[in-house]
Amino acid sequence: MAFPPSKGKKHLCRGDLKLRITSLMDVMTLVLLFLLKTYSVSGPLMKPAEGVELPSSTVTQEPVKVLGLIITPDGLFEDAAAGERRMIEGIDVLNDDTVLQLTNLSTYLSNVQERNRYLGREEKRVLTIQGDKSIPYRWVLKVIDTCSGAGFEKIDFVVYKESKYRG
Amino acid sequence: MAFRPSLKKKRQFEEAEANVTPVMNLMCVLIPMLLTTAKFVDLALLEYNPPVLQETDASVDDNRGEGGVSTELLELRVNVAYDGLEVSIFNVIEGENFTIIPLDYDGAYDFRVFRDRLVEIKERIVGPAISESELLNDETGKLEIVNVYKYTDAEQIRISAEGDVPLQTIIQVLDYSREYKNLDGYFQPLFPSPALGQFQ
Repeated sequence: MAFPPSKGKKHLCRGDLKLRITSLMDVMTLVLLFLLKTYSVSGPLMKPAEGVELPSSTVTQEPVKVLGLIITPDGLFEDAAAGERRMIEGIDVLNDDTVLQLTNLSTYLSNVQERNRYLGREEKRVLTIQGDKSIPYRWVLKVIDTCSGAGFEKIDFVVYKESKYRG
Repeated sequence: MAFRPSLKKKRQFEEAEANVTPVMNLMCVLIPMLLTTAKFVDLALLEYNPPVLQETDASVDDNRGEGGVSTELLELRVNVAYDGLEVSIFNVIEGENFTIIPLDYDGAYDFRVFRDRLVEIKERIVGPAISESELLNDETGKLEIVNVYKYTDAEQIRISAEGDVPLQTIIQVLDYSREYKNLDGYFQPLFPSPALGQFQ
């Protein structure tokens, strides 16, 4: 025997279904506060090069954008996006112990300096190197010697910042 | 006789909710903007000034300890070999002024011992500054007061490494030789003027 429908339930007020977004608002507020806290007014002046795992250091000097070089385990490149990078020196030259000065790099640096002079840009004797942390010392030394020979007075290594308050 | 309960109490009141749609709209704009400008990795620059290396004059070595104090050279060198770190002063390769710091049990360079050795050299052999002098800073064009030590190269360290030593190790050597934390907890400069060179 079928029961008749309840008279009480029949009169229940069925309001519009609403999405409860209170919890979403909580999460969004937290994310917003976190992002505002880490927000930098100056913005990132330099981005780590793709495919390069930079070494870490305790230095605190903020990076500035100047002429840059990228050294990966595949060779020495000019500072550009991963797909547009032009190789300056290959592994064979960098590994060759009889080669002390990198001729392609010297040519590249003199071309850049010449172009800057032609365009009337301020001639900065500063160069940044984004070097993979696994590249051998002999490569670094050759690049430094060549850049120093080309007249660059300061060579900066781009590193990941780590806390110096270690043991 | 019991009264019949009023039917009014069954009336349901709708909950009043704040209209958060405009706030949500604002958040949907702000969060992507902040996400795109956020710095999730902190980059820094390790400055290196390639020095104009001057060959050690033999006459200076001969006059060590006899002439004026300004002619004395410390000649601190660090060689990063595959099997450890070699620290030497006064350009010797044996004796108490030549220290070999072998790899630790994990096969890594023992940078704590290395730093302790450098601190020992700084505090016991170099000693405190004996005077101050003014030096023109080429970058800022201003006069700066610099410390004068017993040795003219008291702030310099020559670092060399075997060819296949990775860059990370060199950066760590530069870090540990640049400054140290003294007993009071303050960071003090150690040998802040490095010169990278060929392995010897």
